[in-house]
Parts: sequence; structure tokens; C-alpha cells
Amino acid sequence: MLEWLELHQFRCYDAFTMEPDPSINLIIGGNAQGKTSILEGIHTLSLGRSYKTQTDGPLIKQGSDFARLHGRVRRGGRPQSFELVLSHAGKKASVNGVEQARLSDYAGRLRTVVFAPEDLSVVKGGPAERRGFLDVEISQLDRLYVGHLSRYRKLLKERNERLKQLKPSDTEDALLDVLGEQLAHYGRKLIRARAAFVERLSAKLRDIHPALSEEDDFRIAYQPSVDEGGHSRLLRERRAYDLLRGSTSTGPHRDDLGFYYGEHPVREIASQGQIRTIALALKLAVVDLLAEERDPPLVLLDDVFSELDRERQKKLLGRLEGGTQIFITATDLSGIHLDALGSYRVFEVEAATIKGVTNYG
Amino acid sequence: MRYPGVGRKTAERFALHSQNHFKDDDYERFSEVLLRVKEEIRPCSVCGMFTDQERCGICRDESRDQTRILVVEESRDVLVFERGGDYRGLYHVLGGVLSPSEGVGPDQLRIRELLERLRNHAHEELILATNLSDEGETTALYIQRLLKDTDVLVTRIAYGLPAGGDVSYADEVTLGKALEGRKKI
Ligand SMILES: Nc1ncnc2c1ncn2[C@@H]1O[C@H](COP(=O)(O)OP(=O)(O)OP(=O)(O)O)[C@@H](O)[C@H]1O
Ligand SMILES: [Mg+2]
Ligand SMILES: [Zn+2]
Repeated sequence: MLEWLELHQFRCYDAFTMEPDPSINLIIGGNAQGKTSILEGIHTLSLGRSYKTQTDGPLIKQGSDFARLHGRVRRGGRPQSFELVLSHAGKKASVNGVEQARLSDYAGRLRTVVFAPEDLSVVKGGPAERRGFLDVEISQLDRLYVGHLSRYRKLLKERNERLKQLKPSDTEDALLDVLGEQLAHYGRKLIRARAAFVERLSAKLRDIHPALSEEDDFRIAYQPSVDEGGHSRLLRERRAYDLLRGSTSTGPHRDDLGFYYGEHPVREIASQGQIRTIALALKLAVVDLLAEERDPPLVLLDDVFSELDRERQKKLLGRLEGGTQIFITATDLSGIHLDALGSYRVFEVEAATIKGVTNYG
Repeated sequence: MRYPGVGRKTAERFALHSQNHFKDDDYERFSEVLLRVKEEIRPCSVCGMFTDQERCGICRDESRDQTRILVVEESRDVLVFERGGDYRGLYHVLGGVLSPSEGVGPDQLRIRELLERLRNHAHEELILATNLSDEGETTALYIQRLLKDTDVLVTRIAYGLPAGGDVSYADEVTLGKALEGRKKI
């Protein structure tokens, strides 16, 4: 449970502090007042990077050199302190005052799941968005995944660079052989982790999706670009083609995730509401998987909650385990069916400051 | 021009110290030494280690084990092995590691020179001691591949826990490598 949050020079915030409620927090304010930035701050503190940006630059308040995020978390008896400093030169992450040498040692200790309007692009967007979803969520479940992923990306860059340096006729190159084998070595770990994750996710979705929707034959399928054992061979077979294109045409960086109603790809037939339900179900399944391993993650609902009808708001909260700490943003309270909430705390945000805090229930 | 590891404060201390304590000929000696670094220090024509001769002291020392060559990334790695004192063979300094994204391919390293050495002399064993970074591994695997059809025995130094190292604090790569390189006791 997050019991204290500070954001310094983060996004629109200068020196922000907040004492969240252990169960439900409603962050209410007009457009562009700073609601999303609070959720983004919590998520960045948890993973060491934002779900909204590729680089840390945009997270730092304009005109500042660095941003500092601090959170105190209580699990059982002892509080734990998390701190993240972002600068244009790099970042520093510490737990209980001890700096973590690698981000992979830091990420995943404080776990969060964000429900955001961007989730729709996991269903509607391209394969890159779906791989992004897989990577972020698996990173929280499997501590080794972060390291394997960054090694894979590094080796992919090296191999692509080598392909560009050679002539299309240079099909015999010992360095390409070596880079291909190293790439396949880490690729295999990614494929295995993704397959296992999608399988567990599917099992959860078989329960969750029907509870939210009339469609009862929804399913997801992992679509790896190569099979687990065949990457090395395929890299050799397609070398001439890769040399011509100057990039690597097969591997986990080309994986995809398919969404279907029965045999029909969802994208071709689903309505906006159905796509929203799928996005919601996916994230709920992730929450379940995380909660199964340890304590439940922090749940951040950016704008999506007030878009749900009364029935779905109730179902969503009903799915989340009793001890789950939830943060919900909305432009006003009217879209939220408060009677379903039990006890909650309301934070009114205006021009990047908290104007009022009220406890209910 | 800046030396690595010297920040503004240290540089200020250096400048003040020179002003307070250097005599006129100290300044001359200092610049002479700097010039000599430029003019006289060069890579050994055999192993690539820095030296002020055509061949370095290690390559000229005939009492050293001529059957083994230990391959390292940089000259400073040779100094580290020499400080340890356990290794009595020869060296080969590559001058870096393979990294196409940094513009370093086989031609940018002293790999051709290494193959030539192995062709011209009957060395029996090549010990690969590049770092356990991705690039260090790539470089070691690459050299191994080039030599796989020769009778030179190619070995990789064992990686493992540092002296006093605690298993429960070691990272996954280190533990994996330590396990791979285990031996009978
Ligand atoms: N690096 C930054 N420095 C300063 N201000 C920033 C920075 N990044 C974003 N902002 C500003 O912060 C403000 C708050 O943005 P935020 O996304 O938190 O608003 P919001 O309350 O969620 O709005 P909406 O209801 O429209 O989603 C915006 O005006 C935005 O332009
Ligand atoms: Mg917003
Ligand atoms: Zn020499």
C-alpha cells in the first residue's frame, strides 16, 4: 500500500505531496489540471519508466534539470521507501536509501497496473503496441525478463548494424554467425516467457471476459515470429534477404498477439464498446496474475472508470481483491457511481495543486 | 582535452599545486614527458601492448611460456594479469571489442595480427579473456569461430564470483557463468 507520495519537478508538478487512502482514491479535476500526471508519477516510481513516453525528458518539469519521485509503501509491518531521480543524463533508483545498480533490480518491487485510454491501442493498434503490453506486464512478473529483453535489443541493434555494413553478397560472415546465435539465445528466453504469460493470461480471461461482455467466445493467441527452437536456423536461411534489407526480419521483435471472437479477428468486427471491454479484461487479468504471486498491485484507472456504465463499474470493483489500493481519475464525480465504492478519499486537483481532500464512507 | 576521472575541482587543485610548487625546470620536464608519451610510446609490434621499444618486455622475455597466448581487450588488462603474477605466458591486446553499432568490426581490432601470429608460430593454446559484457562475449565467440578448424586449443577464462563473493547477492549472469565453469574438487 502506498501511504505517501511526493513528486518534485515531475510533469506539471513542482513540489507535490499526497497521502493516499488505503482503498479508493478519486482524483477529480478539469482537463489539463494534473490528474494523469499523478498516476503517471506512481507508475514511473514503480517501473522506473513511464508507460507514456520512450524517454525520460518529457517527464521532467520544463525548465528543470531533474525530477525526483518518492514513495513510502507499507507491506505488513515495515515501511519501504522508493526513490527515483530522473535527469537528462540518466536515472538513479533507490530502495530504502540504497541505490540500485541496475534498473532491473528496482523495477517490479512496487507493482502497478494502469488502465488508460491508451489501452485501446493494444487491441486496435499495431503489433508494436501489443509487444509493448507484453513487455511491460511480463517485466513485473518475471524479474529476469527485463535483462533478457535489453540484451536482445542490444544484440538486434548490433546485428542490424552489421547487416548494413556488409554488401548483399557477403553471405559468409563469421561475425553475423556469432551475433545471430547470441540473438537466438536471448530470443528463445523471450519467446518462452511470452508464451507462458499468454497461456496464464488466457486462463484468466476465460473467466473475466464473459463476466463483462455478452460475447462468450473471446480468446487471445500468442503469435511468435519464429518457434522457440528454430530462430538460429531461420536467421541463417534468411540471411541473404536480411542483407538486402539491412535489418533482421525474424525474431521476437516481430511477434504479435491475436484477439479473436471464435475464429474472427476482433479488430475487423468489434464495436468501440467491445474493444474497451477487451482492454479492460486484459488489464484485470494482469492484476489477477500479479495478485496471485504476491500482494495485489496498485491499480491506476485513468479516465476509463467514468466511461463505464454502473453495472461495469460495479463488476470491475468486484473483481479487484479486498486489499487492492485503487486510484481513479475523472473530470467530475457525476460519472462515478459512488454507492458502489464503500469508503474512499477525494482529491480535488486544480492547476497542479491539491485544492481539497475529503474522506467519505 | 580532458583526462578521465578528473573533474573541475581536481583540475583546479592540479593547477594551484603546479603554481605553488613547480619550479621552472619542472614545467619543462613535465612537457618533455608529455611529448615523449606521444613520440615514444607505441603498441608492441607483436602483441599490441604499449611499450617504448619495437617489442615489449614481455614479448622479449624468452623465459616466458611461449606456447600460450592470453587475449585481452586493452593494455591495462595486461597490467592486471601481470600484477596477479600467476600467468607466465604471452599476451595479445585486441584494442577493443567487436561492436558494429560503435563502428568496430574485425578490421578495427588486432585480429588479423593475432591470426598471423598463430600461423607463424606453434602456439598451442589461446586463452580468451575479454570481458563478460555482450561485446566481450561476441568477440570471444568470434575468435573461437575463426579458429575452430585449426589445432590451436581455444579456451575461455572461467567467470564466477569475486573473492569473498556472496552467492545470494550475485546476479543471474554471474551465477550462470560460475556454474558453467565449475570444476571437480
Ligand atoms: N514536462 C512538463 N513540464 C511542465 N508541464 C507539463 C509537462 N508535461 C506535461 N505538462 C502539463 O501538465 C498539465 C497536466 O497534464 P495532465 O495530463 O496531468 O492533465 P489531466 O488533468 O490528466 O488532464 P485531462 O483531463 O485532459 O486528461 C498539462 O497542462 C500539460 O501540458
Ligand atoms: Mg488525463
Ligand atoms: Zn609485446
